[in-house]
Amino acid sequence: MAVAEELNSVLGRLRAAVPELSAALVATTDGLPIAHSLNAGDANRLAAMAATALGLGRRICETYGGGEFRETSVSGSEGQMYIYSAGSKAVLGVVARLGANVGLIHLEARDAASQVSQILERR
Amino acid sequence: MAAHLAAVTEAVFSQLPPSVRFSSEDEAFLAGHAPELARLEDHLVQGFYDILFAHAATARVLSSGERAEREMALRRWWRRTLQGPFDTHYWEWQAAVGLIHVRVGVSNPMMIGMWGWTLNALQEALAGKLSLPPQEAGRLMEVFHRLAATVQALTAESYLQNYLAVLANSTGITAELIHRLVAVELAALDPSAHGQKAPTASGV
Repeated sequence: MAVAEELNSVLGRLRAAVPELSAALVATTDGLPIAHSLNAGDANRLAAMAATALGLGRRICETYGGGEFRETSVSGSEGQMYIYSAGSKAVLGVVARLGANVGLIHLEARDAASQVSQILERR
Repeated sequence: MAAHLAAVTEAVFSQLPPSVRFSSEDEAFLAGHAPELARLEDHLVQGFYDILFAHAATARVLSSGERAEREMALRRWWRRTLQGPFDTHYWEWQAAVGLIHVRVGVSNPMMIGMWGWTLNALQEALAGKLSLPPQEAGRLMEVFHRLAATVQALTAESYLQNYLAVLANSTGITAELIHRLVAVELAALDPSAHGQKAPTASGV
């Protein structure tokens, strides 16, 4: 199975497990979207933003001695975006409506990020 | 953290068309006039800093009490330029000026503006103070214009690359990602370029 297909399968399963998600994407650390599942919005922009949050998150972790960066989130009045490190090469971003089950999102998305990492590290 | 000066210099030289950048023929011609051009040092240095200290924005950059030190930097540049050689060391030095400008707060408009003044002052002095024949003065001005273009390109590009390097280092956002952010933002302004600037993702 091609990498893009594998990544799309991961995103498909993630969205099926958490129906409240309105978007899920995988991007390279330099912001190139490599797989996405969006209800709406610009995958290029979201991918670039997710990679930016990843880079900044990593630097913040280094600065305060927080170890390896894992995840960060951005909450607005209408929704939230969660950004997860997915190995050394990629980032996973998911968008959810306000009031979504955060525990379930983290549970499923962390697992998905781990799968993304494994898929990309095999290359 | 700083952008690699050798890489910046190489990139600038690869981008400048050979006919517009300073050449070995220019170097030889300049060297032939070096003794008489050396006489312009005081005139150029004084005029240069008179202008900078008379303008609030540039005077702020040049904190008071250090004019002699600033003047010496320009004198060193002028002497080295007349003496040559125009080797890797010289061009990387010009690129290093871009990094110094980021540090001390000299903007590219200030740099480019003063290059303009310098060229005008040279043009005036070649005909006036040095009384060079018009053809000779014209050829020298062509040389100075190519020198100005080359040095300005190096300094301005180095300024940008060092600014980006510092930003990348402080935020953890790589240069590649910064380029992508720029491309995505510009693609939003020009939808027809979207596919080229920011490759389309594969959707589920």
